[in-house]
Amino acid sequence: MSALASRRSALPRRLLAAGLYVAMLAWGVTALANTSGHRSISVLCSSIEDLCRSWADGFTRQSGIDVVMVRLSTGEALARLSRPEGRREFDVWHGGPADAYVTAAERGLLAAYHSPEAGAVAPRYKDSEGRWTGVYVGVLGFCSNQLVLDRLGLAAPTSWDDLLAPELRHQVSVPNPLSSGTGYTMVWTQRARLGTDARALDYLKRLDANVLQYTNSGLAPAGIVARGEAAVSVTFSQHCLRAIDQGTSQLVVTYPREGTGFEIGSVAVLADARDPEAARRYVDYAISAEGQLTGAGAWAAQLPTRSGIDPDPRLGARADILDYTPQDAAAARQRLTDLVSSELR
Amino acid sequence: MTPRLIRWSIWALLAVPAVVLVLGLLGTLATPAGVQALGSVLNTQSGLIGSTLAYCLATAIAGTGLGWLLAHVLAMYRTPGRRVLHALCLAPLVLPSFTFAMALIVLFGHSGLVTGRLAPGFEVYGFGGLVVAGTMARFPLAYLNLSWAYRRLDTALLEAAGELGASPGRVTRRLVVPRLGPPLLSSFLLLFGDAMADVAIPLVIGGGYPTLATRMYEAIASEGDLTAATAYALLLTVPAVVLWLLASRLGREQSNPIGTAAPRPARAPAVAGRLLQVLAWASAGLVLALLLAVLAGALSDPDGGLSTAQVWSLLHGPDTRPFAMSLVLALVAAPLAMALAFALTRAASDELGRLRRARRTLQALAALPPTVLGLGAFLALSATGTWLRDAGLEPRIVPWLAIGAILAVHLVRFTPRVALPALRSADALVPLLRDQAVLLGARPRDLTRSLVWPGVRTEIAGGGLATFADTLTAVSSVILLTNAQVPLLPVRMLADIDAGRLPAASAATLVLSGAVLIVTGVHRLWRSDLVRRRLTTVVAR
Repeated sequence: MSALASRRSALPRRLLAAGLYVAMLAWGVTALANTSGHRSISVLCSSIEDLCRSWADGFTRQSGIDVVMVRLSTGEALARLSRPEGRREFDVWHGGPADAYVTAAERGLLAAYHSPEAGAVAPRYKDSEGRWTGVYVGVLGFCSNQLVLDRLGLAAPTSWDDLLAPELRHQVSVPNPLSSGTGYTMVWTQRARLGTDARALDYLKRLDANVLQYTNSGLAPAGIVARGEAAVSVTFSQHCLRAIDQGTSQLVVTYPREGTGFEIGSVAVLADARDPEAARRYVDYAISAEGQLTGAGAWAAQLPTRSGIDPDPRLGARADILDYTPQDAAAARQRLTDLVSSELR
Repeated sequence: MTPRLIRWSIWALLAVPAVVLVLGLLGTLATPAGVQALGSVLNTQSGLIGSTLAYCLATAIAGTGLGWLLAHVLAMYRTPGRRVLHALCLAPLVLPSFTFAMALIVLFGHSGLVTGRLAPGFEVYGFGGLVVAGTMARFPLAYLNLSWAYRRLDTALLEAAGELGASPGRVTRRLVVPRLGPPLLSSFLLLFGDAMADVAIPLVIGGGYPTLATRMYEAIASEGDLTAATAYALLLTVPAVVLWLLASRLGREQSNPIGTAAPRPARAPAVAGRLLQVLAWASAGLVLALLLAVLAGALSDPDGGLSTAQVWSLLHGPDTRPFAMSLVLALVAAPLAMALAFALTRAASDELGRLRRARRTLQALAALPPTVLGLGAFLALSATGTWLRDAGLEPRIVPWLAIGAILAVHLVRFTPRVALPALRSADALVPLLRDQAVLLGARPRDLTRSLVWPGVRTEIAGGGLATFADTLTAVSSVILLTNAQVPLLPVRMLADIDAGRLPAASAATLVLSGAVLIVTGVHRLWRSDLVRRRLTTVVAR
């Protein structure tokens, strides 16, 4: 067979191969084009992913503005926003404990905005300069899988020391204090209840022997316990209730009798927002009754910061809350995370 | 343009991004804070270095052993189901590296399908699970390397030894094993270096087991500590470069692009051979079980029924963007790496000395761990972002910068891997090119079309396919470069696994491997013609 004839016989196969390749490329480019809206804002969300999506969808329905939502744990979000390119990436930060917002405000990352909706929020749940506003409250608790506990012959924990039981070796799931706001709240809570950094670190080191894996995000431990991979997790109770409402009925929520920490989940306009006007509209929506009730329409309600909304009775009603101000927790953040980074990780 | 200028221009296409990535790292380290961070890491993290070395050593030994076992069984014995066994050996190459870690949790986790009922106390998290997952993800590299070495064995010598009465075991001990020393060692070093740079598998199944790569990621993603991250990166780079250079000297020259045909069998196995066959099939069975666990997870719904909803949402739903972005980047990066590799091969193939210099340069580039390349790109991206911001330029350029940085990392990482096998094949072309050019006065363009391209196209095409698969499933090199506008599916999968959404991650694995299989089909459609034409030429001769 001549070279020319050989080339001709190869032509249909090559055309088919090239066509397939180009078709895949065209599909990818088209899909990217379709997901790039006309006017959109980027929201960095540090709450439950389902809830983040519900917030984004609710805002889009109300305003007609598309939302590009990215979920990152609070610690990762703070690190990302502190980088030059991260500042230009997002317009709004939504969810995660207020102490991280205090740190962000000190770094000049947040824009002041006194939302008209913020009048219904108690002063202890918002920044006096308007740089952040609380939109929900979460209480740190234990989320346990009753089936796994039964197998281990244990009751659901009601004390921080219960987590140190030898039977719970590699059966406790906790978030990484370096990446997760929930994880940092857990560390801060130990500092608050035990009185010194050294005692808090000693407790965390003893707990470390029972930890299965430090998760990046604060809501992940609830999912891990729901799957039965671990018996107990330390997480904000709304994450556990979400799993229960999704059908994992073997989960139980308990709180430590020594007292526990809590978060003021917040929202803020970022100082380098690309579309500040749309960002402010988003913050209005997040603080509004509709925004704060979005959780109730999804999987789990969160304790609201607005007056006039009835809270879900399962969320933290039985918990003994330790003293907490976002400013104190923020002031200790660098010191405590450095300690965890050097001594525990 | 003169030939010299053309050569320099081609090299610049690769060298400029490589230098930018490396300079970003050195610039961060060459400050008082950088030196202090390096000293601090060296003084306080000896345990971390030890645990990293233990993980890499165990993975490299186990992966090389498993690769040898499968290559040996397929090359030396008539084994039923050879094609299936070969396909199972190659399957991990089309999956994200942490897929098996995820599948191990599904099967052998605390609530795993197997251990949940049969062995409730079994512990898959930590060192043991990490080594098994790392071995399953990496043994195909050793398998390919050693299969190629087996093909180069003198079969006539082996057959003669057998006909003269040597038992199969004696033939293996006296003739085969001594000739496999260098490829075995090079496979070990290759797997060791690959494990050192890995971020994803320890994050998924490490259970808190610390490694340098995960600490580097944590330092930058959670703590925002660039100098500490760069110090960790340096600790990763030095051994990786030394190991890769050793591997290059010890037989990487024999490595080949992805093979699509199983090696030829030689003989019926004796007792020892049968035992090896059983072990090989048991290993392949584990690969198959893990793949089925991923498939089942991808097609399951929360109520335990069958559903394609999760797969569909990646193809046409709210989660399409990460997959589309990963796919487009891989479809663009692969041909770019192939074109650049061919241009480099052509530019170096006029002269043996030039070929050797090109090979050495590319080997050094290929030695850079992907995690470190990603960090270098991240630092460069940060600096560029700051400069653009200060200059008041349009911030919408930022997503394009991220896309450019990801493509640059892929090009610097994969162009050498495509070009090195082509440069080895080009060795034989040098005298031909010189003779044709000098004696017959052939034009450079004609030499390129009639000599160089036919001589290296198999290597370039195979390397392009491997590049597509690796870029589509890459995590370690791009984990720091994704952002809101440029999301990548494998990085998102890590977040899904962290949050316990294993079915969503399984669905993403299925979609990614499907895309690799389609492009493999495209590759075979193109190559089947080449193979047929080559056979026709041989018959005609």
